[in-house]
Amino acid sequence: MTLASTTLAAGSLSAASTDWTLLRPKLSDAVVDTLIMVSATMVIAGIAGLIIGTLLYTTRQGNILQNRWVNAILNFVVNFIRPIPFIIMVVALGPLMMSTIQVTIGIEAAIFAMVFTATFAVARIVEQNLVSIDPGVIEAARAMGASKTKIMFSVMLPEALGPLILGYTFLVIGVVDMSAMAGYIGAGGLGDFALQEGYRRFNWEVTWVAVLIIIVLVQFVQLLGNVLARKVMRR
Amino acid sequence: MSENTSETTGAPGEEMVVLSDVSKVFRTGKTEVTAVDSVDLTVNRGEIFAIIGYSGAGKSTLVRLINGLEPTTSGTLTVDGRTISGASESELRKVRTDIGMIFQQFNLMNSKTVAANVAFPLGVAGWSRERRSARVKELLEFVGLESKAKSYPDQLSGGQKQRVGIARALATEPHLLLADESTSALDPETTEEVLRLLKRVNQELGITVVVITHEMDVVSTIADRVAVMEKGRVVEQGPVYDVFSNPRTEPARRFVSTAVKTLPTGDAAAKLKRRHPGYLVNVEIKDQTPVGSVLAHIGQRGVSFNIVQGGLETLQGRTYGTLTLELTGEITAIDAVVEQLKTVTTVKEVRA
Repeated sequence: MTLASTTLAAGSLSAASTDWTLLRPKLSDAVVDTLIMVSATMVIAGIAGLIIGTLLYTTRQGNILQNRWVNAILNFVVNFIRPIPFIIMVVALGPLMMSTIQVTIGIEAAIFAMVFTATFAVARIVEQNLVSIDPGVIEAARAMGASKTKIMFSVMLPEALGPLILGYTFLVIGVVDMSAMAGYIGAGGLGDFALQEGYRRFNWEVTWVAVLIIIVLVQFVQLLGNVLARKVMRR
Repeated sequence: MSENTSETTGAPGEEMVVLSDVSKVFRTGKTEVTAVDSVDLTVNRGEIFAIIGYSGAGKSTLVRLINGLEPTTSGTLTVDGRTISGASESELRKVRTDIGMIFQQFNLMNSKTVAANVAFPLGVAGWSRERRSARVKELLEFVGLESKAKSYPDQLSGGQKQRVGIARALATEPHLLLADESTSALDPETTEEVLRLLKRVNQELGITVVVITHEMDVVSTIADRVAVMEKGRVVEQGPVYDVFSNPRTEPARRFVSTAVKTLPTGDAAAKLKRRHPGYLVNVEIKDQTPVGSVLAHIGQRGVSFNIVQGGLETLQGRTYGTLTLELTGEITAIDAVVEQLKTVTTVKEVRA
């Protein structure tokens, strides 16, 4: 008998006896953990990525902070970090976690790894959206005597706000994906719940309930992002 | 508009913008491009000065040197007595609030309302909220867009967008307005509307205007003086009438020919001669050139005439242009008529 068929057979056996009175508190804990991990990551990485992304854009040739070296270094760092699979990153960051937050497991460690990874993803998304700004608008602001910070905060970011909201929304899904792997270092959350209470106990029902909640969560965020972006872009 | 023109520090006719031996060289890798080549230019206070040239002539670069958006490579440039060439970015920021600029593509912020766009430079210049909103109202009235204050730029037509651009450029009560191809993206009717507004800006508010354009019409409609640019150099400059009624360089001549029919040459001359077998001459008409009174009497010599081509234009209230005449009659009589015409104006034979 193959492994797959064993799992299936066992799964269909235990599915009948799912005890939701026991599982419900674990499930709500998992939902809360996921929400904490995702929102903390989006806020911290959102801000850090915004700064790095804005720097990536403004240090480009011909832009207001034009600086070949800073731009090359930032690009290298982003390109270095981005391809590392998160499941590797979450363990590879162990030494860095030890020397900074002094833990390598649990929700804090997971958030640390998620923030670290997401920051560079946010940075790229921010850069790509800023590139689409009409350079003429920036020139006009310069012609009015606006300072570089004024141009960044009062011209660039507002002009690109709609696409930026959509970009951040897109990233929430990636961050939810990361949070599912956080269970690997004991951080809990819906992904961990689906694996521990569902998959490992051959209980497909539990697995799919967790999946369903994640889908609803992501759909809600996407809807919110779309509505906000439409409002900002007035179309 | 309660524009305080007494703030302007000098009297009309004084120098507003002075370029002496100004050059701008762009370097990309090993290649060097001289966009502006040893330009000497003076824009007087209170005038509308046009810089005309084909694309790539360096005129857009030149105008960006004036407000320091591009640093000069060599030479000195002053605006309103302040040295722009070699000034630091923070010094330039202060200077720029006294120089308005409008653009071909308007360059309005789509994320902000019309009122917020106009208020933006006031925020930069540090005006208080109350003064800002009063000033915005005043400016939108001046450009006739008070009803569009809460609209967004993408809800406006091209002409309306440029009027918002003008209101924004005038917000901080500048002494100088730079217009970079400000009508090139507009249809002829809207172009006229924007040019009229620029004329009002100059006459009612006393603001010096520098207009960059490739359109002869723009120059003849509003400018007092003009500089013709080609390949980074100013090849000709002076009062608009003087330059265009008597163009001395090839680019100036080409611009004049876009406005009026000039001496036919080559193919055009050959075609004209085929249709008109008589002797063809081209006579220049300026102001009160008494060509008519000469022609009125040529019948006595047995010579008759026919006007076969030509164009006259009024510039700054003065006429200029050329007429091509077909003269028929005895050869000696025609010679005599040509000699007589030469006493009153420039006469050129049309050759194929």
